[in-house]
Amino acid sequence: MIGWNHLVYFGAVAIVCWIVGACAALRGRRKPAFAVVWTLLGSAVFMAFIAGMWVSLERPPLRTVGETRLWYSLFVTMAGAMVYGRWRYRWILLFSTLMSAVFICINILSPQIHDKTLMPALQSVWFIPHVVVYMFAYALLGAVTLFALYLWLRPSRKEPSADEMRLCDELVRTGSAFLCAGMVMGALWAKQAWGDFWTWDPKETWAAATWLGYLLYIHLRGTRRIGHNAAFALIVFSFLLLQMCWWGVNYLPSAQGASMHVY
Amino acid sequence: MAFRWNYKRAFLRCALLLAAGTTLQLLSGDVPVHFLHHPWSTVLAVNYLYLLVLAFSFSGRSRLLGSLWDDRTCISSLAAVLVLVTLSGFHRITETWPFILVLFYFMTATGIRAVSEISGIRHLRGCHYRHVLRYLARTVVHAGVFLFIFAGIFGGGDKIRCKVVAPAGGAVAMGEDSSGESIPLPFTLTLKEFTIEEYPPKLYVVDTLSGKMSDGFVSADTVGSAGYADGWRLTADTCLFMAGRLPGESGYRAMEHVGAVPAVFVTAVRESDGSSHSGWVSCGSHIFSSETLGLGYGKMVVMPRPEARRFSSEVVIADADGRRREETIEVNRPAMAGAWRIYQAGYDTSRGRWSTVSVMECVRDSWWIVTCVSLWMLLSGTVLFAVSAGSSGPVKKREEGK
Repeated sequence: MIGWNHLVYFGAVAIVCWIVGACAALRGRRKPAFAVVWTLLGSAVFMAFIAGMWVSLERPPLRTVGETRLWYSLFVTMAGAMVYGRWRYRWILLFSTLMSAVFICINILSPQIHDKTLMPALQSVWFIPHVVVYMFAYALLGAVTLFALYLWLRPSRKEPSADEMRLCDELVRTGSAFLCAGMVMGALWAKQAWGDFWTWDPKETWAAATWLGYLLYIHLRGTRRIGHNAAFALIVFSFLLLQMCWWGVNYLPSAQGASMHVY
Repeated sequence: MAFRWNYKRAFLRCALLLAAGTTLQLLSGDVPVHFLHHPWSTVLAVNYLYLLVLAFSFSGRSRLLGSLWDDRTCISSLAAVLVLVTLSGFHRITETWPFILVLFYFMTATGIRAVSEISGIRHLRGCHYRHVLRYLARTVVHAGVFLFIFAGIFGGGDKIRCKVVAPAGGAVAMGEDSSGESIPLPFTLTLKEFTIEEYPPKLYVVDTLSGKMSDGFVSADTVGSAGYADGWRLTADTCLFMAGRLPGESGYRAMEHVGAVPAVFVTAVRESDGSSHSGWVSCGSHIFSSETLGLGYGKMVVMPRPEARRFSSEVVIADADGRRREETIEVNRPAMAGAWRIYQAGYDTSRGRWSTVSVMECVRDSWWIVTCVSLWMLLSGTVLFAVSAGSSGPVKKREEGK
């Protein structure tokens, strides 16, 4: 049975595949499909690990922060492959590989004890789509944050091109759409489990703040009322809100005892 | 004097709303939960919707009305809501006047914008399909956000939530809300049976000085289950899931009795020097006391109460006309009784699986259908956004032909 201690092996193979894909994209000597195939091969290896964990735990590995990091590592490379396949930004695979590798290393260095228990409230048809859609949104928004930071701080100080800004806009728009879908699924689930769609629980509050941050970006960009620097700053600020929503809320004094989402 | 409207003034309007809200807050405290309730909430909601349509219809003739929903208003109100929601992440302010006023302003801007977009659908004929999809996505999302807040503001006051503690066999027709007030229910609930399924018991090593439990544990699923916890290898030599101990006996025996507990005979071997200890460990119940295994070195093996896998209540719901029906209620599977929903909330945790009561929550939310429709609209809008991703922008076929 695949367990948490096998992560190091699956993670190593996946990272090697992702590095091959990232190097191929950076060198640009081969066809783009070569880099995409290697990246997706790495993702498939990592997905096999997640599937194995799912079988051995007898529940979806989506319950703890460590388990959600697994999905994040998977989706961020898939998002990277998607962006590279669609827009051919050579270094995006390197960034997505680095981000995934960091998250895998965090999970290896601070392993969590994984048990099979799943509290009754989590035994819902909404559990898997809610968390998976959220993690995919986080991965897309993580990719766009890396991209924005690169455009903002690159040594050449070159002004971002219209195409580069369009990529930022598309990623934020798609990531926000998934974020919104995850939030809506959470609300429908909450009604079924507790009788309230929305209670301003600390986690919900930070989720709303994150969504509003990205909505503000979309609207400001849509009306062309924002410069590049302010746009990048808003992407980074919204990503910080996202971090608060994902794990920062667990450490907030106001959430202790008040949030049913602290785990 | 001409009406001047720009971003600076739009943000100033938000600041004034915040100031007005703060003044109201200082004068009257938080917004009362049942501030708007039936029938006034419905009357006001209908009139408000009518006014939104009127505001859109006449906004071409009045710049003031136009300033209720243009880009400046939408962006400034969105930014104001973002600031307040972010602040609320640190200290909840969602029931304060500044928050409600700014949210109301944002809802108004979004509502008129949605009306405008709905009225613009007829102009989409001949447009590129991606532009149509994106326009529809935007319209559906704006309308969904508006309806969600609309139902929250106008319908929140009509919501009733009360807790019902149902003893086995007894009929209950009253609940209790969060302030302790009794709420009569339009039906009676009779608990026929409460059942609970538990996960296998877990064994931890605990530090007796600090009280800290080990990160590692052993799940005693079957005889021979083993694992490591805090430098000790724990092996479950005997597992009894329903056990008890008679007076004068040192060991546990299998027992089908009220208050029966899980009990495990454990052997603990210290990894560093091979020293071992063995004995019974049990979590105890309201009938039998708990048992731990001392290991020396300030450590002992303990068994917390097993976690619930699922729990459910078989109830009989009888309405005022005497109609009776049986339902099984469990977490994520509420029962309906007219406009009410009945949720499984808990049980007597001090008795665990031997609980003789079931705790349920009855919720009456007259506006739930509006909220539900708004959420499905939002979900549909996000799907449309995802499908239309990669659009190069609005290009009309007519323009392409020029």
